[in-house]
Amino acid sequence: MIKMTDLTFAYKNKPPLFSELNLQISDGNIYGLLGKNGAGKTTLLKIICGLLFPQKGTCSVLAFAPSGRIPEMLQEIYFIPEEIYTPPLKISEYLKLYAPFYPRFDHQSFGQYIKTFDLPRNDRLTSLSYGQKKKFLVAFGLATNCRLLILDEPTNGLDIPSKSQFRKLLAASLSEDRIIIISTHQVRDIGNLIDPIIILDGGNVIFNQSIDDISRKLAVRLQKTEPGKDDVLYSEKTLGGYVVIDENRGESESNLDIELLFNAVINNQQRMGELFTREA
Amino acid sequence: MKTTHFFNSKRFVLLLRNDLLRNYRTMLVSAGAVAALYFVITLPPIFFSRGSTSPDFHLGLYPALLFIGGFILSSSAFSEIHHSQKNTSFFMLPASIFEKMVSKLLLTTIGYVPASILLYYLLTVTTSGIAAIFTGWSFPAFNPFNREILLSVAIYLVTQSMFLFGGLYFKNHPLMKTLFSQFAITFVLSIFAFLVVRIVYRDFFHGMRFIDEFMFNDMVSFEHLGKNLATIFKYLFWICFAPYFWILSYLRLGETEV
Repeated sequence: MIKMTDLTFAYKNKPPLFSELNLQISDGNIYGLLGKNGAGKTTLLKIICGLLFPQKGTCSVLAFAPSGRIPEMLQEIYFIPEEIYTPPLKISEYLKLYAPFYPRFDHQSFGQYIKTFDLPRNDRLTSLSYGQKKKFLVAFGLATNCRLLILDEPTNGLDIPSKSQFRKLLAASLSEDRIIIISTHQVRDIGNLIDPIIILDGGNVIFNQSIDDISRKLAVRLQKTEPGKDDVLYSEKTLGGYVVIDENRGESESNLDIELLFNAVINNQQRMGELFTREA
Repeated sequence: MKTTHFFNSKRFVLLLRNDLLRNYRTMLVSAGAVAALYFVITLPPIFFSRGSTSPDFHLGLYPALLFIGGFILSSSAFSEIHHSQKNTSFFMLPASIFEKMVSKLLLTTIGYVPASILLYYLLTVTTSGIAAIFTGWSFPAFNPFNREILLSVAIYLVTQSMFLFGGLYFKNHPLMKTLFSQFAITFVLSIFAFLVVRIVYRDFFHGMRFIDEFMFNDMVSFEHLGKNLATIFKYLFWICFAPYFWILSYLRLGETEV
């Protein structure tokens, strides 16, 4: 579990990015972390990893204080940043040098992931394309069997078949004691994968709900005329009319497009907040 | 806090191996550069000057290469923490800050020194062979156990700690910035020391100048003071200098953010 309590963080000579932020992330889920540019998604991930230190408040990651950078904690966390680095080594050399640091590293699974991603075993990592490097790190991260896997924009640079393979591998690797956090702008790439969804805006967690709750509480419909601003939670123009998000008053659950949900939350924070707290 | 949070011998060996194998190509290139420099310095006198090379030749050249190479190596030991992509990989590697610090320290001290001695020894053997074949006269052999060579090694082992810290502290051009900082601090401390002496021994000064007759009269006490100060500085250098920078480096590494 990850727990942040009244966490305050500011970069040097800048106003606080997070002020008294509270967030709880539970085991056994693939969290989707969404937010506009500069919302603090990467910063939040770095705080979780112990790469940045909060000025106030507490942060507990798998019962460790991440700022201590204790090896026992680091061997349970694998972080793939957006800007990746791979040393000039072959895959086999990389395995020899890095896998022993992870006590539950599964070489057999790693071999399968490499095969699935169709990665060349004998080439140097530096000679691989950006997408191939990313696939290699995803394969390595999954094979570590660490309890917390953090991926920042993981589908950037992946080709279409790889995105599908990535989703399958990630879904298959989730276990009850594992947490996967994916921060991304490419919500369509991970639409059916993430649950719950966390949305950051202005240094606050403005939305943290499971897909189940979202489907029960929100309804989507298409209508030809533009709805009144106060009549619905959110609407946007689309081909043939308007797609509208409103409170789900019926019994049926609806499938919601995450991009649409994101826009609804960002543009109508107050009403969305009220809806989810009221019925919680 | 458990001891394994701080140090685990198995993990440390893995880390050391990791540091060594990841950087061995850079080390080989550096060794090649040193070898080229060595030959540029040693070969022309063999071919163009008549007469043998002084036996003290190595007492000047080896320490020069040891210090220049070692300070460059120490300054760049932590270069990855200043690299926007490598730093994440460095800090996320499951090893303690202490292990990461000691690994770099060992590689730049007891790893580097024997390697530099071996390299230099092999270079002198090669030069001797070249000299014997082409000119017929002998080239002095390198004795790494010479007292002055050993003293140079000891001085390097102490002073490199400052460059290791400089490499951690300065993002760009750490070697030059460490040297400039050292000069600046020495300059400020010298002025401070002079002002202290000027205030404590005000009776011996006229303006900013020593009054000679007082100096000659009190030569014995000045000599005594000088000896005491030299002893204090000697102990400070040999005992405190390196641990001071090691502790600073460890603390700095622990508080570095990405």
